[in-house]
Amino acid sequence: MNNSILILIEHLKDAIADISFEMLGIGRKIADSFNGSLHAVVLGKDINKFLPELGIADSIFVADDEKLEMASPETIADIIKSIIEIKGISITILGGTNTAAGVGPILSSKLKLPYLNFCKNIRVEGDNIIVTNQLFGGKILSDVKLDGMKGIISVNPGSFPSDAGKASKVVPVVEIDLSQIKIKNYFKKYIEPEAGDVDITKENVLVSVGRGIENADNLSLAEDLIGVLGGAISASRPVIDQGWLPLSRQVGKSGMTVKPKLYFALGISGAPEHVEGMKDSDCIVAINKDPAAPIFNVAHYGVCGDLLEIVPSLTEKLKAKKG
Amino acid sequence: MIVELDAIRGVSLDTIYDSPEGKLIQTCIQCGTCSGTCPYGEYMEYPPRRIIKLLQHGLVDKVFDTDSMLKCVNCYACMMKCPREIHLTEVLLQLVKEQTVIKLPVVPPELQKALENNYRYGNPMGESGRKRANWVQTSSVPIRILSQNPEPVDVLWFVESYPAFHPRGQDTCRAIAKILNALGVDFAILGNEEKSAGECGLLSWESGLAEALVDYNMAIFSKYKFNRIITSDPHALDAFNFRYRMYGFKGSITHIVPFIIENIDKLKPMLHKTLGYSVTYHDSCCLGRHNGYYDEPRALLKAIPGIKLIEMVHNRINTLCCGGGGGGMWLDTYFKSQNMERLSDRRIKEAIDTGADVLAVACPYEIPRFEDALKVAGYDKKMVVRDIMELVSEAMED
Repeated sequence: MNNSILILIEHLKDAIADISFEMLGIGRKIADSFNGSLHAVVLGKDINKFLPELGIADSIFVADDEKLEMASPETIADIIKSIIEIKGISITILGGTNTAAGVGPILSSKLKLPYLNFCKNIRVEGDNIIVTNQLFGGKILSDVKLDGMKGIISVNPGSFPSDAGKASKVVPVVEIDLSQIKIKNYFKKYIEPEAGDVDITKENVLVSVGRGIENADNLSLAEDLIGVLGGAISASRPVIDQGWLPLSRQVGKSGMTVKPKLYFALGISGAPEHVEGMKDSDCIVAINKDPAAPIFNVAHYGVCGDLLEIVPSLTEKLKAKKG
Repeated sequence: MIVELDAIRGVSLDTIYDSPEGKLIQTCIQCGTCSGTCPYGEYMEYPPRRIIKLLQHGLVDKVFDTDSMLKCVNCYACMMKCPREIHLTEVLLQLVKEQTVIKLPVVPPELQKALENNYRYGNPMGESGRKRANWVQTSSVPIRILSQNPEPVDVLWFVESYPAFHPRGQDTCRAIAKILNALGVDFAILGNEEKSAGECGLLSWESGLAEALVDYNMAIFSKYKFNRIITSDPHALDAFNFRYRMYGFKGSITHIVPFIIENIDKLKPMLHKTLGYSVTYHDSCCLGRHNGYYDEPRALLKAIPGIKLIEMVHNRINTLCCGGGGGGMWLDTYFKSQNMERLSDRRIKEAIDTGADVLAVACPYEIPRFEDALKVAGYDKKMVVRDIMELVSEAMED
């Protein structure tokens, strides 16, 4: 099995996590360019139901055992190690997720293999695999060549299209021999956090309102915009203080730090305490009456005018465009 | 009134009774003035009087299981009014605070982040230390940075984090630079070498972090020759005057307001613009109550032509804290979640009631706190918050 790639499949609550398909997709691409093979490994209880979805792999390693449900990083690393050693896997790809975060370093130190974390891209150049990974929280990107085509890569979720990894086909299944694996810690029960409000840090679009919204009734203008754009409503402190929105929606120094793809600042002056919480948003659109409002210093697009007039007409235009 | 440093060096809650401070604590008459004057006393399960009582009975551990001391904003009100002159804010409450934060199941994330930022970047806002002196480029007068020109200097200006990084703090910095320059003061700053002095929250919550910052800044001071230090941050003044001296700091430290007052005769002829503002002055806890500078800020304001000074109901020793001290700057959300009124919101009502146009302050935390409170009160078009130095600088314009 030369130049073979192994993917650790992640699943939670009876569903395969998207990251698994992302990894399968890129894994297939790399394997094909080397005429290599792609393998998946699935651990846990009642996992047979997942297997038909993993048809893009050439073979699937499985270990169906209650004690492997949400297994600890040590256990997962031991199992993957045994597969790598027996089958001669060259590259192992893991998800950069909480589930797999501990696996890579253990595997790396046990097998003396290079471990590349925070991977954003994998490409083939000639006979080499080049991995692009993020350093310093994404401030620096580094291209790393995998020496001897051997190593462990952990990829950031969202780096690759997940559709590329989806195929339903029946492929050979290999049972993993667990006799040599010692399971010290195992999972007992999954506790759901209490259902809370929307987590504004996870939204792609935030429509944030400030005191310029004037009163609680006008919040519906922002809600209408969200109806077209998607996303969630958030606010600067004065709006929260008025009790118009709950504390969980507050952006800024004393609230949440958010980095959505699109951030609308409606009637927000842009006090440093607010800007601290949203300045890293990908695209900031500010609407404010005051041309000197500091929000325009951080906004990518600014409209100087009355949000009570602009927002409804913007919503209409967007609606019309969407048909 | 400030405690003898030798008397409290190395004192812990277990050994406090062996110290002179412990003897003082034993004289407490349980009059309750401390709890009554505490701006957040009504929200504390254990306000200062009860803490002393519990300590006397060997039960002080009970306090650690509550968030009482999380609500202490280091305003010195209890300490300065204690008839037995017990150094509550300086000694006992600090010790209780540190134990409280150790025992807290969750440190409020905003405070946690500020502490981490101070540890990693040397400032609570998490800005790059290499940008600390960036504001200098916007100054209208030249400012010497010691690392670039290490010749001996008369006055070392310790800028501090809020003035260096906060846009409104930078306004104050530009005003100070202009005034010092006009007065012909031989001054310089540390620039990017400076790190947060370590007061305010840090001293109370993380003595280890405070010590690291004290060591760092003391080492930087030892690189240069200067006669005295000035700062516009009363919290830094407190840190140098109090905590740094415990670690052997011997330098002279003055707040910018009393420093300018020393030069008032030279300054007065330069104040030729009549401002025509009615101004109310907010006594900062550290500058006023703790260090006794009540008259100097008022004298400086009165020296500005056309300023009419109106006092708030609570002034001088009775001043009401803005809520930013003792880590309160990073506990706004926590206080709000406990249904506590932010003290800046409470104080701004008193300022508005004076009918003044300008709320004058002398502490960098107060500008953002009160500007925010004005917005909350819907009064931001009618009153502005200005540092005294900004007003002096404006009066120097033609």
